Amino acid sequence: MVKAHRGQYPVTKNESIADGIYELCFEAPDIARAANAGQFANVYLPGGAMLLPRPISIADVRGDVVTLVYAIVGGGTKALAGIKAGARLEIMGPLGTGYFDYAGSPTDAAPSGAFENPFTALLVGGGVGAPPLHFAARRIRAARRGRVKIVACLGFRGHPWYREEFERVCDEVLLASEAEGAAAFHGNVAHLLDKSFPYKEAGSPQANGQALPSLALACGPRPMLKAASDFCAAKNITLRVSLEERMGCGYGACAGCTCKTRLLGDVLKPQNGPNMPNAEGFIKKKVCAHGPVFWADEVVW
Amino acid sequence: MVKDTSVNICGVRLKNPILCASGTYNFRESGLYYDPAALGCITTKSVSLLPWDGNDAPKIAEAYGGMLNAIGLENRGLDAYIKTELKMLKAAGATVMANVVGRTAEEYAEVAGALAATDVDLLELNISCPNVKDSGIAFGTDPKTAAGLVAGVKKASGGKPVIVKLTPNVTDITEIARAVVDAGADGLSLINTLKGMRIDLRTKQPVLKAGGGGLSGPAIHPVAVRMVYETRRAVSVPIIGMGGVMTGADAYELMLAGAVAVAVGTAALIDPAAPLRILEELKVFL
Repeated sequence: MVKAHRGQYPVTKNESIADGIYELCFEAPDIARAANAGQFANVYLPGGAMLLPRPISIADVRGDVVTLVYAIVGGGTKALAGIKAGARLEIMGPLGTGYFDYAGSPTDAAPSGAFENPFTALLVGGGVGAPPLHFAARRIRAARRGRVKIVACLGFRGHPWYREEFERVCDEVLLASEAEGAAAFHGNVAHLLDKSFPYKEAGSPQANGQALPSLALACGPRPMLKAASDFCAAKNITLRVSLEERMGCGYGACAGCTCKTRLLGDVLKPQNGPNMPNAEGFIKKKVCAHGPVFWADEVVW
Repeated sequence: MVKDTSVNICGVRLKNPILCASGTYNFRESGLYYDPAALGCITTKSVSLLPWDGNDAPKIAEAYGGMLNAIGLENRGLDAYIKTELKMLKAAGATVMANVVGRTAEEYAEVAGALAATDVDLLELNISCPNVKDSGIAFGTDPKTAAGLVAGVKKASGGKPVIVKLTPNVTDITEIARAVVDAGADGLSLINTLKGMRIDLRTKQPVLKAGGGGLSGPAIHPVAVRMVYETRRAVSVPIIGMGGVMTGADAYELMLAGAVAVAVGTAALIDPAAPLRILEELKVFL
């Protein structure tokens, strides 16, 4: 872990971009410089009644401006939605371990063998979990240019949003909605994955000419992450997932957000944090500090 | 000239009266934000003989002016504590109080005994955690049980000062305070969290997986002030005050109530550097 930045940053935009979904932009050169895809920022509400930070994943960084996308889920995010451009917000970040914070990742100066040559990256996102993958897509694209094909599979409850943002950086954007007629595919992301990648496993011939994803990144509700994990495990695709949990501090002090993981013992999948399993074979890890991004196969689902 | 703000707790000199409260400091992460030697003392997270898993998430819920936690004393056990957290903190020059927990009175004594052989400065017995069924608060609500546990720990702890952390979840805190002091407690920490619960309006179920949790934060500060005030008048050992301290003024209020030093907990979860800020604010009053 490295020290996060903290300050009262000017809000440049805080607007609804879809039903119950807001995009918050703020000017924070120090956070912008340090941020990696998959990391998050702690947003503190003014007033003193709601003390705990709202940990929100970073959806984009452009110049000095950091973008967070959040859903209104309770009193805190409702109050946050009332903050106007021009106001200052107490924010701390970037926090946590991101998608590419390991040696040999596709954005590494020396990526591992799997990412040296053209490869396909699969993004699996659900609802408000989609925007952080947009930041991840931009980072892979910046690092690998034309030597990567990026395919996004995104699911929404209603009408898809953030589509243009993904289309700008991805080669293919496949959309699913649980509302009939709202997207090309009616159903959830798991069904969309099965339909879009019908081949049995990585290495087998392609029925539809799709390249084989070597890496998948996922962010969304836990059942979706579990489905993505099962899908990728069956097809031998390396998957990194971003877990969500109620947090206390968001920086690693309180152990309020720990999850069960297991030791992988795979040099290509370096793991953060403690490495001594308990009597049941599990290692408790902090979602905020050791994650939120983990290898799918280290998570005890 | 820099004013001497040091305080003496049971023969241990703290360079200033601000501590961090147990469970709100982690060397690897909190250590990024300030030098642990800058505080009077670092109280480390509860340590048990063997690793404890703690509760399942959700373990945190917000409340008006506070928060509920039901972490359940998750920790990596005594061996890992001595080899990593304690070692790193002492190497950094910090004064350290180890918070001790157990499932039985014997376990408390065994952990205290092992820590007595280390360079830890103070022991804090957690007989007040509301989040574990078979220990913690169970030892801290009955004066006889509490006294027995403290007597056992005192015997094992080889002269290391033993501070007992008390729960506010009792009819009369001074009754427990007197009992543990009579049993040999060298000092008291108070208060631990207040029992509380939030219910999710949508699911109609408790927000916390464990059901209830412990309330902390500024909402409980007046409770802490009163309990320190009453306990000060009941016993003569040093009292470390804690409960919802957000500012130097809050800390000073606890000192006026009778605390010789003050611990910062929830404020440090909201801002890792809060203990240092609160120390600077407190200096204005001293």
